[in-house]
Amino acid sequence: MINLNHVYKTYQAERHILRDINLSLTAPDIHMISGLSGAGKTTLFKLFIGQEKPTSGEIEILGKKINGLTSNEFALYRQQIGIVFQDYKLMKDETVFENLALPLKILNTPTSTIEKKIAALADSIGLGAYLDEYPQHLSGGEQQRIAIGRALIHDPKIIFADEPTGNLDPETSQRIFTLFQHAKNNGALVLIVTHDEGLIKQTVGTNFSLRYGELKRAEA
Amino acid sequence: MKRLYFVMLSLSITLVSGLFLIYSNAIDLLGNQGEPKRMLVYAKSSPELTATSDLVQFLQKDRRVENYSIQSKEEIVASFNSSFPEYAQGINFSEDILSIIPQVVEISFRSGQDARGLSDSLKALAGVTEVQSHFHWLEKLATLKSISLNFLVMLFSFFAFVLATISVLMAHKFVLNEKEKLQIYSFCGATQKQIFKILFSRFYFVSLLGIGTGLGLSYVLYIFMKSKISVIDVDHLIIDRVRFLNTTEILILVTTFVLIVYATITFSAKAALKEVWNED
Repeated sequence: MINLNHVYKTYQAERHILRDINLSLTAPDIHMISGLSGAGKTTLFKLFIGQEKPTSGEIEILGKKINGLTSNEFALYRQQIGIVFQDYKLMKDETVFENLALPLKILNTPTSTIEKKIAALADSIGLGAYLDEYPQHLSGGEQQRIAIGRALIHDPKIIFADEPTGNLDPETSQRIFTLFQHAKNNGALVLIVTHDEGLIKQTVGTNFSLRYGELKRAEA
Repeated sequence: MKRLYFVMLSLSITLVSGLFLIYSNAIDLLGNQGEPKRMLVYAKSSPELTATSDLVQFLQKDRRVENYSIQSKEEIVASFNSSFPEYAQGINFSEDILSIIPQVVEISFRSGQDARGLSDSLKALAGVTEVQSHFHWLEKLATLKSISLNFLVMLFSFFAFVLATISVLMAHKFVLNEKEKLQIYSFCGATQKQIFKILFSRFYFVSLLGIGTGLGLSYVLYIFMKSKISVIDVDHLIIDRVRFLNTTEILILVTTFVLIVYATITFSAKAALKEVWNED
């Protein structure tokens, strides 16, 4: 499902942010990638979601080499994944409902189905009472839950999450992790980039560690 | 940002249509004093003009003359009687009076022909007592009209250019402000087509509202202008001829603005999307 072969990312000459990354992951599972600040976690996350291209090497996800896709193929790829950003990336002038509904609207899902799915998801992430609110009127933790909800709403095959529990209290973190587990049980592959020790301890799949741009399996 | 764009677009439309309104009304009020093409020639009453008269021979040969018509004394009297019946009742058109009424020859010139020298040539002909061409005054009027219209065109072009530039910059800024949103759409899997559609639907409403408001304001300006003119124009010589932009003019104005704004949106959106998709 995810295959990385000899992937390098270099920003300045001779300065490798990521070096010789090799990775092979299959669904369903939950994997963690941890590392200190500046280790290259976010760069690797950006390569997965196609926000950046590798300097060299090959990234194959869902059977497609994502660095060679046309813009339409790229859009189709992103329709099959869910992304949770560290800075949430919410539409500030749209309601919680509209933010959650966005992936479904892009997939031309009927309105009645959208309403049903959002009602079910909003309760499980504790946002049922806030659907008509605007994100900027909510707390950081609530905004993060909207971001997570948006990544899960269209039942993606892969979920990429960058620090998904960064602003959440332990109880809500646990609820969010349960949601990821549900996604895994539904056949999805969940890849979480984090330095949250609590979350890392809950890993059921492989825990990887990024250090100086090199990816290694973390020791148990 | 959206409000500012709306205000700027409305003001641009108001100012441009306002200037256009003044320009088109100025053309109507100043009339069409282009190249004069008509000349009235009064010939002596005796001898009667015939095919062999010098004047008729001259008019038949001169290339500048497109056509001419001779009004006989009887036709002139009949025209006078029908136009001024009250005066005509008191006049006895005896032979003596008829003898002093001149025959009138109306001459039209071919377009593009300079007929100014023709006046002197006609005066030199036997039997021609007077030549009225109004060339002198018509030329003065035409020059005045040309200067004032050129000034208005320059003013209109300058304002149109400045305001179109402002609208373009506002539209560009509007799109760039939407960049973050475009990026979110892209991350959620929207295709380029879907993103353009969403972007245009957002602009469509604001732009239409801006253009509509601008035209509405220019209509208010027109009413205000008319009320001011009516104070000084007691005889309604001008006021009755002042008009608002007609449908064609409004369509031209709106189409031009829509094309300018939408071309900008397209180019700006493409630039923004290029950044979003990291295609550099």
